[in-house]
Amino acid sequence: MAQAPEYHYVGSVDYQPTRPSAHQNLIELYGLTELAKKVGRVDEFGNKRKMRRSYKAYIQDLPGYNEILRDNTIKQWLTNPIREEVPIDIEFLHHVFSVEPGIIPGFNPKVFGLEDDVVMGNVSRDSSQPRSPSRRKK
Amino acid sequence: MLPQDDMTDEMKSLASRLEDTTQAFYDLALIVYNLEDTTPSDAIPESLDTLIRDLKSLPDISRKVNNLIPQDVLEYIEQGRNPDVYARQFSELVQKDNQYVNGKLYAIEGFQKAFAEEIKQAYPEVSSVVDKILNEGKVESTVS
Repeated sequence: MAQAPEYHYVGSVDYQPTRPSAHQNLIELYGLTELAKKVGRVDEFGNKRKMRRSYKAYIQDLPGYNEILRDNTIKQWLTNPIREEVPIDIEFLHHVFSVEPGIIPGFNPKVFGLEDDVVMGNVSRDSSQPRSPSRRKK
Repeated sequence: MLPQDDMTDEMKSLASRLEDTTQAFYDLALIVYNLEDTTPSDAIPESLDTLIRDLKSLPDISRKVNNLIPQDVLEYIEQGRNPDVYARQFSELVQKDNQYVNGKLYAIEGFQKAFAEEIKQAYPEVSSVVDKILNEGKVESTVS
C-alpha cells in the first residue's frame, strides 16, 4: 500500500499584507510630491527642464573665480571630524599681516575673477551692509 | 545662492553666514594683493576682524541646523555633480519601482484569485479557508 501523501493545513497561519503597499502612491504617501514636481524633467507648462551636470549654478554668485575640485575633502571631514575649538589669537594675526606692498611670487590673480585689478579701500562691513563691489553675478 | 523655498530659517542663516565668510576671505586677499603705500593702515586689520568674527560665529549657527544629508548626496557634491540631479534620479526611481512592484502585485493577485478558484472547484470542503486567506491580502489600490 502506497504511503499516504503528507498535507499541510494552510489555514493555520495568518498573513498580513506589508505596509505600505506598492499599490499606494509612495510619492504622495511620503510627502515627495513637491520634490517630484521641482525636479521633474518637464515643468508645469510642458517645457523641458534642463539641469546642469555640476553644481556650478550654486557657487557662481560667490566672489572670485571658483573652480569645482573633485577630491575627498568631505569624506575626510566625515571620517575625522574636528570637534575641539581652535583658539584664535587676533593680535598675533594682526602682527603677521603687517605686510608691505610688493609682488607675491607664484600667485595668480585670476582667482579674483576680475578683468582689471581693483584697489579696494575700507571694506569692513557686517552682513547687514551692502556687498562690496568685488562681488558680482556671472 | 541656494533655493530658499525648502530651507529652514536656521539653514538660511548658516548659508548667509557662510557667504559672508567667503566674502571676507576674498576681501582680505584682494586688499593684500592690491596693497599700496596709499592703502589705509586699518584696511587689513579690519578685514581680519571681520573674517575672524564670521568664522567664530559659524559653530553656533551650525549647531542649530540638524538636517540629515544622505551620504550619496555628499559624494555627489564631492565629485562636482549637481545634487538636484540626484534628487531627480531619486524621485524617478521611487516612481519607477513603485509602478514596477505595483504591476507585480497585480500579477500575483491575479494568479492568487485564479488559483483560489481552481482549488475551490477541486476541494469544495476547504472553500471557507480559501476565502479567509483571500481576505487577508486585501489592499486598497491608489497608485495613480
